[in-house]
Amino acid sequence: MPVLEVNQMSKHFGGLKAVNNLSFQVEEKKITGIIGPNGAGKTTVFNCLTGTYPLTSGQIVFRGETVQNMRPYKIAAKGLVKTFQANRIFPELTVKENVLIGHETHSKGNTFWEIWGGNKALETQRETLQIIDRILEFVGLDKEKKIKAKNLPHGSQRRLAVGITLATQPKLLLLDEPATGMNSEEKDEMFNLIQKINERGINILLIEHDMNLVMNICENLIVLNYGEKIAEGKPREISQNEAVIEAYLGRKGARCF
Amino acid sequence: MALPSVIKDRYFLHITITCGIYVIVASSLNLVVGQMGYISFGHNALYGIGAYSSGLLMRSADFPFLIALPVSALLAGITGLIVGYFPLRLRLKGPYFALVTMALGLVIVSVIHNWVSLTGGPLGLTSVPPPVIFGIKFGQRQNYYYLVMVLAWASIYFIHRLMNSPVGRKFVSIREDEEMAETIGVNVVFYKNLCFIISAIMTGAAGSLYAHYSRFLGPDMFSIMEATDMLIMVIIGGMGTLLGPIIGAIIIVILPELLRGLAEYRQVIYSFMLIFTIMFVPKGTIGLWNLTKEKLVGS
Repeated sequence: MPVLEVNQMSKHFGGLKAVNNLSFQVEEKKITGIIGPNGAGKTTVFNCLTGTYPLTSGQIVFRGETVQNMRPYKIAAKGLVKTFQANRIFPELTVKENVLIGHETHSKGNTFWEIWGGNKALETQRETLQIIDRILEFVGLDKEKKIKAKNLPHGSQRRLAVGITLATQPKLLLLDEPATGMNSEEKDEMFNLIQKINERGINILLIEHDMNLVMNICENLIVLNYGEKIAEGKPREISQNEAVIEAYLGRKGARCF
Repeated sequence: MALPSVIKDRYFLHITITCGIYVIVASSLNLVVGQMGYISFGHNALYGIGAYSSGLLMRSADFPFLIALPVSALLAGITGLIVGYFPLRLRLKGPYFALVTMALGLVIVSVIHNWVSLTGGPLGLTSVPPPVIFGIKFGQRQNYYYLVMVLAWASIYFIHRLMNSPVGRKFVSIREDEEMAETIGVNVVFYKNLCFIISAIMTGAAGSLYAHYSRFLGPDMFSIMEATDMLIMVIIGGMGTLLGPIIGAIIIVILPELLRGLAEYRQVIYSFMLIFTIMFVPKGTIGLWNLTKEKLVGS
């Protein structure tokens, strides 16, 4: 069963068809990428998947369950979580608190009794702190635990955003342009991080413009242009697909190949 | 703070009792404004509902204080729920939410003015009885001082625990990035309502304390000016901190007393303080303190 199945999904903003009759699937364990020129509707697709935008029509099936038009927090609770294109974190909170919030939205026992402490709460606290530490180590931020998120450098903030979403125990992680604004070294680190996450059994669907990263990390690619799917397949096939080249470079550019 | 039981000066006790009551109000307003980032112009209404219902329950319905206070606090909380539910569900934010709360404030004051048979209208509610708890009368200022201090400390402690719990962190996540909070699984509508209701309950309780201290209630005491005074306490003191609202409440209670001669200019002075704070020290006195610390120690 595919992790995610999108059937004839459309999102129109009045007359603007941001996404039109899109259908695709994400298979288990296969890192999938959505690519396409700017304005193709990629981020809109993500927003529809997370419930931020209600659909104009169509269906989204996540792990066998129909989830379109559900409130975002409910979809997140089911394991579908995304990161943002811009570096979004909770700026005034420390790194540790940021990840803690992600964890707390999905752990049991978030009742009012947690306000008062007590033995049970202390135990869960110890476990929680261990989990947080492991996540911070995983994304490479364990030394910056007590720093306010707003004081982190750009690349670290990006890793923190990933850490927060990891804390929610996602089953499918949507990464919106994870490598934006990074130098080659940071991009290599991000590449490794994404692979590590996938190895842990978390499915990944990503949007990215860096072709090098995309071709090397994705097993399956979906190409969008003007809100519609123009191609789908393995990276090698896609890189030779005429329609795709035309979309990126225009008709004259395609003639060069 | 809880110590000077030796000072029997009526004036001193009056000031400290008033401070104690407003510490509760400011701290609870800070939950909504400072911790969660939503402005409320309607806490005067919640304060008034707490005050009038407690006063009426004890005076006309012979309720004991230990029941009147929680009941009136709950009534304020229910008002908070009714007012907050639809606007928050409709995702009203920032200025729009503030306007709704302002409307609440104005409506409640109007009700108090006009429901003369219940509230005595502009002439006010008189003969509000003092509390009697376990046979101890709290009619004297000294006794009332202890009552207020106990409740003020209890409120602060509660808020401290709340803000360091998962619930409190969710409030802050809403302030920091509401859209993102929802994307990672926080039920923002629920938590926004929760925060507002907790704040309403505490402010209502403070209103009850005020009613049985003042023993007279009039609609002018709960006007929109009250609402802005409460906001000024929170903003000048330091939004989002535990100590901020306490300091803010003390400043706003004491300032008019110190500046008796300049009474007509009170609002002007407040305005300048507010503008100064927002422009130069947005974090209030707490921010000022942190800045001075940094400059002295050298970061």
